[in-house]
Amino acid sequence: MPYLIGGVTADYNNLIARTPAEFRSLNNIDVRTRHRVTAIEPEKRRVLVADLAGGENSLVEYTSLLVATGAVAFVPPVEGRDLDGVFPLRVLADALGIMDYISRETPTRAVVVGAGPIGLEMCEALRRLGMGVTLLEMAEQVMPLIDPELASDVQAVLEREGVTCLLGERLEGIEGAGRARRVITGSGAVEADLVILGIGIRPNVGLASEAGVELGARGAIRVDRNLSTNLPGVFAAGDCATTTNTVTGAEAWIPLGSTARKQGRAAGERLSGADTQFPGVQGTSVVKCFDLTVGRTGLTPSEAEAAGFEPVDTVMEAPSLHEYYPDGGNMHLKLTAEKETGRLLGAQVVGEMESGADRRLDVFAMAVRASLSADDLQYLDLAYAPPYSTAVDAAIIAGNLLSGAVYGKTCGCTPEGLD
Amino acid sequence: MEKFVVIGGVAAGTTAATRARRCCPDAEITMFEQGDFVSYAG
Repeated sequence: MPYLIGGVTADYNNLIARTPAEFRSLNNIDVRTRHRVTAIEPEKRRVLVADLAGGENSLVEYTSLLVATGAVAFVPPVEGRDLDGVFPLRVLADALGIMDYISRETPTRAVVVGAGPIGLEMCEALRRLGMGVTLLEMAEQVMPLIDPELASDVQAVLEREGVTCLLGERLEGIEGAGRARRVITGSGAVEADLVILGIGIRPNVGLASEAGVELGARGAIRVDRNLSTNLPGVFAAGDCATTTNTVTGAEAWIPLGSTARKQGRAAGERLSGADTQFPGVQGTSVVKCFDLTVGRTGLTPSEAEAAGFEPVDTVMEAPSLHEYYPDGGNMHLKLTAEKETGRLLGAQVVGEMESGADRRLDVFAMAVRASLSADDLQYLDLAYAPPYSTAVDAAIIAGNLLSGAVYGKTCGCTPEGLD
Repeated sequence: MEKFVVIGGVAAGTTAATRARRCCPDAEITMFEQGDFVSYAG
């Protein structure tokens, strides 16, 4: 949606994979928009449905039910949150509301609250539209999902692109007469006629919870690997549901669109009576911030420690290509391993778009999934030709370095390579 | 007759519904979405 708002995607219809009419004609699925399920009656295996367009309420029976109610934007309870020009960005209607406001009021100064993925994407989108942008973040760094030494690369790019970063600052309120004019922070005020709230999301579980569905991690609907809830015939999937963190084995809430699609597929098979199991996720995610790729998979060192591992980590900077070949770019790679076994627990990457940092991220994601060790990384057989990588790929060099840190080897491997 | 009801029509809901249809050609599948749009990219 930030790409729609920023004009990269021309038309919101391009974001829609299938319309209700197409679901009916292609899939024989009865899709009813503007219908809200107001109650689940698990004993009677039926739901109460309100037609928001003013029609009659109805009772609909089911043999199997899937709760896929997603997550809702967290809107902090500050004064001025209801002013015109203040928007969360969660559903398509939010994006269309923002676009309507921009064309109607032509705002020139935006404040983006929250420096997570949505916040970063919105900074880029609003700069594309020529607005002045201030990014307000409660933590002392942008992109709190990654460690500070990598996040500083992201901050540098934001500032280079004209985004003012106000870190360690809380949103205290929004002032204006009808329409947003000023954002009040812990230490001052910022003029703004558009405010985007990208502070976070909460699982949307009220309906399920009222029906007696048990909640788990972070208040999301607790499901097992069968995607079953505690109620017979009731399944849950997507941003409203828990999952298993495959690295720690613990129940987790890691809401991501990629996960929702995979959980949804498995849930569809479950509805159909198949014995599909959803194995869980490790929190692999990536975001583009101007010309930077920012991503992570698995655990950071502090998360590893909190999960009971004794972690070691290494940080290195590497070029994606040899100097003799044009293009490419630089990247920072941070790896986390378990000291005792050398098992790769997680990776963080920040690199120029042209560096292909996303490719290394996915290599690490596979390695984490397969419980590969730092030693295994050293001898990965990755694709090489000069336009694609260095002869020893950055991911392998990172493995060399990590291996040294884990096993205490001092074989001369450096961040520059194995010359 | 199997009757599947799906609450929510964005990512997980739509994927589940279409997958269920592929697995169960004869089931009755109904999906409820409180918003105006279904099956869109965030």
